[in-house]
Amino acid sequence: MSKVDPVGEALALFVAPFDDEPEAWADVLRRASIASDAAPRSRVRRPRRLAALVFAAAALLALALSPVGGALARGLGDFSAWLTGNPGDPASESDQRAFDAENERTWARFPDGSELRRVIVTEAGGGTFELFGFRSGNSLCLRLTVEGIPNEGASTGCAPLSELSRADAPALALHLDAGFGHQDVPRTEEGFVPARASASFGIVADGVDAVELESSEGASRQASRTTRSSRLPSTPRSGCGRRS
Amino acid sequence: MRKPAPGATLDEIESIYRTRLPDFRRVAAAILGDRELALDAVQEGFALAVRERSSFRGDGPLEAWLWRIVVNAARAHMRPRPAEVDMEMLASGNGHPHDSDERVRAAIVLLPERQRLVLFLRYYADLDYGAIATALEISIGTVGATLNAAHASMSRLLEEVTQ
Repeated sequence: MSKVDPVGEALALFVAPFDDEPEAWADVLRRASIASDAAPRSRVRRPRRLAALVFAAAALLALALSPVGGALARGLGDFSAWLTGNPGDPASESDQRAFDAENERTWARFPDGSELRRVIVTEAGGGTFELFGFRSGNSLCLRLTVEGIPNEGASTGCAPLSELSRADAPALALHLDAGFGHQDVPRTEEGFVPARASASFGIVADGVDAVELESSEGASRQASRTTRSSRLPSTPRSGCGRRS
Repeated sequence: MRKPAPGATLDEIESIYRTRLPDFRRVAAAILGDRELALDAVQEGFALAVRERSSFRGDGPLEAWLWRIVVNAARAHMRPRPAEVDMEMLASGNGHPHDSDERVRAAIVLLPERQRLVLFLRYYADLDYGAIATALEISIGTVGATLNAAHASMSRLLEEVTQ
């Protein structure tokens, strides 16, 4: 028979567990982005020589998705097509298998049977980037994979459907500055090795033609342009812009 | 397992967020005494972690580093509170049937802050001594001593409450 721990019992009464609390990772990213924009530059600025090197060697990729037609009439902040439909085309079997295998190994996995759909393919910084969308419970997720860059990998971001339905902004960033690979440069004094390529991706409402990104170093730059994809005529418009 | 290189990735932070969010919120709620404020504190803490992820040196578990940030964010959210508990309540054996629960809460609230934090991280987050030490920036020995002191104080107070 286990011994009763009165301290543990008291603490159990003190604050009840949080069960079934909705995730709000997109909110974390949004707060991080907003605060970064407002932060003093000196806090995030790296030495000028290094920063220049980062810009010279890194590829900044911005991927933006938007719902299909009809949403424009409902305003820029409307994500209804994303909420009711599926973006893109079914992923190839190999892509789906790779996702399933990786998901199987992951500690915090997505539900089994998550159907991956390919939304956009583009190239930047010597790598081929593929953006996939899928649903996970009550969230809509985007997954970016890259090939052709050493230390390649995948980045995934999710937004609760409730966030999309009540969003008051025409764009939701799901992942900011996902790094891929490493540059062949010495570590900074903080031990940081800049990524060879970085990518940001998210969801934008219809009527959004471009996304403007600002780097964490404070340098403003136009990094996205929206183009209509001929490969995916019946799916959300998708576009990309990049800078290297 | 130690990180092979300094800096944390967004994926690593997100994975811990997804897996441990209820525990982060519970600890923040225990610190703040307010479940809604706790949500805000956790979000703010993780936003800070995302911004400063390159400063993670990898000399300890990433999760412990995240706990440190969230605990500090929760403490930053603390507001001056009216006197919610007082010492006389602890000594009082008379009154309302719910007094017992209230005195249990008072016993926790009146612990020194470090003792409370160690208890919360041990019981709510199930962290080991090393992770608690990293999260609170104290030595492992101090964690053990603090936990023992907290147990002793709590046990004594709870014994008085139930008598």
